[in-house]
Amino acid sequence: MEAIDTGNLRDLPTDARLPGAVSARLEPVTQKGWMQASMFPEKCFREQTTTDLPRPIGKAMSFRVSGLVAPRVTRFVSEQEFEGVVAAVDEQSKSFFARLTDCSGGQPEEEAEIAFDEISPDDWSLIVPGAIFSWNIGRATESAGQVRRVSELRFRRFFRFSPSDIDSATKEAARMLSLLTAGNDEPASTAAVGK
Amino acid sequence: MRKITCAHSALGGSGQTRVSMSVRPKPETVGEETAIVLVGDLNPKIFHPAWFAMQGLIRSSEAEEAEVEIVHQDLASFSLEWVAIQVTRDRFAAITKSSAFRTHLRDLVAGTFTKLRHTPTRQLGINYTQRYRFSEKGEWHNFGHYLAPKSPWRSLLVSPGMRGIRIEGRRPDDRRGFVLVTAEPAEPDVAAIQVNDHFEAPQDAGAADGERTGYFVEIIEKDFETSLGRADKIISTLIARFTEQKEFNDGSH
Repeated sequence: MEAIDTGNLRDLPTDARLPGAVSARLEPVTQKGWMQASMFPEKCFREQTTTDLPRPIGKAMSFRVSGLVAPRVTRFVSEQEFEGVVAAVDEQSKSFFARLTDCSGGQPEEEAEIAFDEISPDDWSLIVPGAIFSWNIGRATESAGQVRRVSELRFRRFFRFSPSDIDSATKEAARMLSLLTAGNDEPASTAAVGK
Repeated sequence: MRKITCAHSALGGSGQTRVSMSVRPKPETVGEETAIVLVGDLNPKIFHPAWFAMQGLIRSSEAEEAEVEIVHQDLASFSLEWVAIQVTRDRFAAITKSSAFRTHLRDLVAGTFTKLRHTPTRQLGINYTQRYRFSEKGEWHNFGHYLAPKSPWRSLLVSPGMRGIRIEGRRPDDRRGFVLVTAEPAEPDVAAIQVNDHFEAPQDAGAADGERTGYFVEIIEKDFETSLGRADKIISTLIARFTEQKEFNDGSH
């Protein structure tokens, strides 16, 4: 049982439009699967119920159990997922080239040219070399139960390489550089034979 | 041939109907939810879609089309197509229903609390929930018997059934916190299993608010995938072991 401060919630009108997770109802709670809370002057106590009816205790404030996700949030089942990195942008043709990695693994990296039109205009400013995006193809189920095929391409808006990412990239770069340097150190005659 | 006991609305209850079956079908995944929760002292009224758009954390069009349920000094709640945000004075939660948006969920929360790095926070939860529908009522009850054997309740309760079970384990890393697994009936024939990967602020209580929030942001950026991978493994292993189990302790003997 958890104590929460009702504070100004008590001043809300009884018909206030509140989110699913915190619907306040100043009336006996009768809905199935709701959390209930007894009102006290300063605090209320809420207890999570699992199923069946919570017992009404006078005027109570109810909270929908695990209804944290508002109905609008769509259930989306991804059938294929790629992570993409923008390699180059062609401003004239309004398209960009990207390297795509199939997140299910096992497939070689692919390259694709993608038109700006495929992207939400809000994300156009994010299309720069090095930008990372996800591309999901799958089925979305609306709250009404309608299922539709969806291709969702979304650019990452907050991404930072971690120190360990930078460290491993630095090491990899050093390794590649040493390979190149070692190649250049070969005697010219050997290099020529190699060709 | 095995016998399975069916009963009332609690997982693993014993009852009147008996169903015989020889093949164990695997329960079907019917939903999942990923949430990042931060506990601390928050100011809900700033968590408006327009603020997120202004900070570049969501698209402007998403902010315009957001379903704003309330933005109030005590709570804020709005949802986009892919994420729901809910904030009270002591709790921030961002939730998505699809694995396709996990990365963006992480970016959104890490970005938010990088911008709000001076917000006092104390705890972080990375929560993953999967819902399974069992092909038969008997299997649903068996899952309850599997998680909570009924023989300890024999002769104490009539038709004991599992309403929920919570198992806590120590963290597998050296951070402060715990891993809490919860299983409970969600609706008839459906069970929800949630893994709450819980992190506490570092022990040096004198740490500044910004440092603690920065610590949690670092965990979100660095450990989010590991945490979800661990949660997925816990849940899938529980289900796999359940489907392999032949006998269930329903308290009948």
